[in-house]
Amino acid sequence: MFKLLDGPQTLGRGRTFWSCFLAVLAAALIYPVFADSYDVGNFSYFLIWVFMALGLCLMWGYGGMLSFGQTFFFGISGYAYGVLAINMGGGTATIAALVLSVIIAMIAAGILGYFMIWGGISGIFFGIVTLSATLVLAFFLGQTAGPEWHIGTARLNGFNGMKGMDPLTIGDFYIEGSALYYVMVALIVIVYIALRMLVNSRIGNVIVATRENPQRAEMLGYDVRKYQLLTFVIGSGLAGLSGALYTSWGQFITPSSIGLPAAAMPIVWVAFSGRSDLTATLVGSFLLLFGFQTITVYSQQAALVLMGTLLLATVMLAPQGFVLGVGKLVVDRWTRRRRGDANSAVAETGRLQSDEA
Amino acid sequence: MSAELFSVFYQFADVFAFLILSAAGLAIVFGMMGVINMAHGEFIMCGAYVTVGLVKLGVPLALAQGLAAVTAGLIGVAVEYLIVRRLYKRPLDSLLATWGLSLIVTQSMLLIVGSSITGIGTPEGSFAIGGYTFSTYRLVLFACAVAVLIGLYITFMKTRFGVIARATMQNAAMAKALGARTGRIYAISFGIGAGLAGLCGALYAPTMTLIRWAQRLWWKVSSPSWSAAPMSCSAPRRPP
Repeated sequence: MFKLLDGPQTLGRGRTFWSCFLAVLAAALIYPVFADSYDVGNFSYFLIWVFMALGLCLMWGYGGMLSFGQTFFFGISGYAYGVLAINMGGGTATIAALVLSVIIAMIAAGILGYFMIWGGISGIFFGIVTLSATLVLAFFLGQTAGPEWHIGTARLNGFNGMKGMDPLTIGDFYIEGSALYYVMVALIVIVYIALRMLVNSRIGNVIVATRENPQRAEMLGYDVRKYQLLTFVIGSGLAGLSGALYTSWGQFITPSSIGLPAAAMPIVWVAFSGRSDLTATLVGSFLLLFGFQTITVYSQQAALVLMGTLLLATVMLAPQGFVLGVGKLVVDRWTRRRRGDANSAVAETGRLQSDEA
Repeated sequence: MSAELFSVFYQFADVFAFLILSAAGLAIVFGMMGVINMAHGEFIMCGAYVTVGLVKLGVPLALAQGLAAVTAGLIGVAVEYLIVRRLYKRPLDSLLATWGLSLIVTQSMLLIVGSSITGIGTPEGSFAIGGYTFSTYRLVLFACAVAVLIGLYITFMKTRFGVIARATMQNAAMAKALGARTGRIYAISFGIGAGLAGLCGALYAPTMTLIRWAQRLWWKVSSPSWSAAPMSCSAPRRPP
């Protein structure tokens, strides 16, 4: 089982990498002891979005499906959490609401994905269809301001957004502050490890083979559509997890977290980080969110200009992603003794990228 | 009766003109060249802003509109040369790059110009049929749209440039082997597309309050939800 942690589909293996991983994890775990609670809350907020980025990395980097629909499932799950948490009452039921809302997002992904993948939509049109779905949901929720738009006792409230749901709670204990932070870190570690195992397993190999050449994978006897659907459901489910966590974090969700500018964000994070590797996405998304938040405090427009510049520069200068490129450079320097080994790994990933383009 | 009929035609012409003018550039850039240009709306915005700026400087409206279209076209050539040219073989990346460009331009304009600037009024002039009054400028727009269609048809179907351009889009390597300067052809075609987008912005600049409407246009044009766009024209339609 743990053999799957290291494999051909993920960069970073061996004792050095996992030592670094444990060191970062340890630092993350003792961080709340030293930081004030405001910063801890902010860090939890950044971690919320990482799930979505990891899901997109799986779909786009490994599966070759560029989905613009991460915020679509984010929104479905976020609103579902709100509706369920309000209707089922607070308390421990919020945990059930979290699980159910992620499942709802995955069902939605299953339905949309079935029609797209069995309908033979691929390449750019995959992105266009998912983005259209996203915009439809954003516009639909935007016009639900009237009192007639309610599910149970939960008002949707149009552009003003839904509010009043409880945060995650166990019994009388609200999971917020440091507790929420630790839950996030635990979830990130679980999701990261699980995805690593997934992409290095047999299923992961088929997913990558499909990205490289769907026809070839089909000729080898795999029903690629099933694997694509699985990838899409898992990736979108992770976006759903982000959405439910976001709603419970702020007890608030609006259609603007679904619409066009929001939908662009996960793509920027993943493209900048390096879509072909989970670790790069994890690190890059976090850094980018951190930077974005820091600048947004001063000017949101400037932050978006910076996002655009990063996206443009990534595509023009480092199509594989900045974090991935820098990471490879560092690793190359570090392991000069095993240079031949490292170089072959780099060359391999480079080739996969060019094939995809 | 004839007044009602004309009113129906007038509305048809209005929507027709808007769709044709805003989509004509896209037809070349996306339809012919196969480049998904997410920054198409920004070229429209460019045309609109240049028109408003020039008119405020005292340039006559028609001249300002022509200059705006040319400006957008030149910027389009520059964008093709600097960005799009390197991405013809990576369509997804050209989508991302132009999206990045779109974010930069829109947000920079917001930072520099602000979220609203005072517009320029719609050119005066109206005529009455039956009990209804119609704005002449809307018919001018319709005429422009028809002229753009005819002009495009002639340019791409009847001229030597058009033949070479179509050959380049179909098989760039073969066209190059036959002596066509494919790089230049691509740049000019992209420039024409951008120029037409600029023309759309320039023609509609007097009829709208300039807000960030242009950036969403790409989706309005390319998706069935376009009907929301003409609604945002603030000029009076069919006043009683």
